[in-house]
Amino acid sequence: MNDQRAAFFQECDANREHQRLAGIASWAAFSARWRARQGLPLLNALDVQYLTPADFCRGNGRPLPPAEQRRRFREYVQAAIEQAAVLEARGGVRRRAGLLSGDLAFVRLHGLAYRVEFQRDFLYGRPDLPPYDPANLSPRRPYGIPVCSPGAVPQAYWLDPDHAPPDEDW
Amino acid sequence: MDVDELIDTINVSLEAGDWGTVVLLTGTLYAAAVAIGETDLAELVKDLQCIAQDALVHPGEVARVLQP
Repeated sequence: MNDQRAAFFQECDANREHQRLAGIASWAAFSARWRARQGLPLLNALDVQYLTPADFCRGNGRPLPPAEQRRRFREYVQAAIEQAAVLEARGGVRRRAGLLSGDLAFVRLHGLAYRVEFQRDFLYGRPDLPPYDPANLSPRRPYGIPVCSPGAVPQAYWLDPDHAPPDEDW
Repeated sequence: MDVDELIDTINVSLEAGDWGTVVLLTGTLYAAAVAIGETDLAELVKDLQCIAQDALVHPGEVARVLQP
């Protein structure tokens, strides 16, 4: 059994692509922990795989109450599962024989796709209202404070407070 | 240096704890990733640069985290 594991790890070590993916997965882990501990949204819901509930903090770096930490963790996990299911349905998740360790990490990595998409910081107008409506006369920020660099903005993952379940103590 | 080479070099610098080089190279890699449309990678790299800058500014914290 140990020989099999050793052989498997040697195979992974010798696989340059595997090493590169592992390197980028570690970057994603850095990002996730750094963001969670500053109260920032994760770049991708799947990055929750690198966290524990205890990693979630307020903006001042102090831990959230334990019940809130667990709630936030559960919501990210749920979003990650839904996101992974969507990727799977699109055929975007590729699993390879022989590379089972860090399998979930590869889901996130295969999400690193070319995406030439420009996201505006402001939305001008609502299509469901007439152009003279007050709501259409001033620009509105759609998702709160942007945390990604302008110009090259993949949408950060924000938890929707309107759909958050009520707080609970357990 | 292309993107793959930059990634490899940055990983070597990270393992060595050479935060100054990490800050420098992540800036270059960020621009390169944006230029080829790898926006997800670019945001990860930007986070990495912020982390490296924090490490440069707070060496005492880094030493505390790395303490065995």
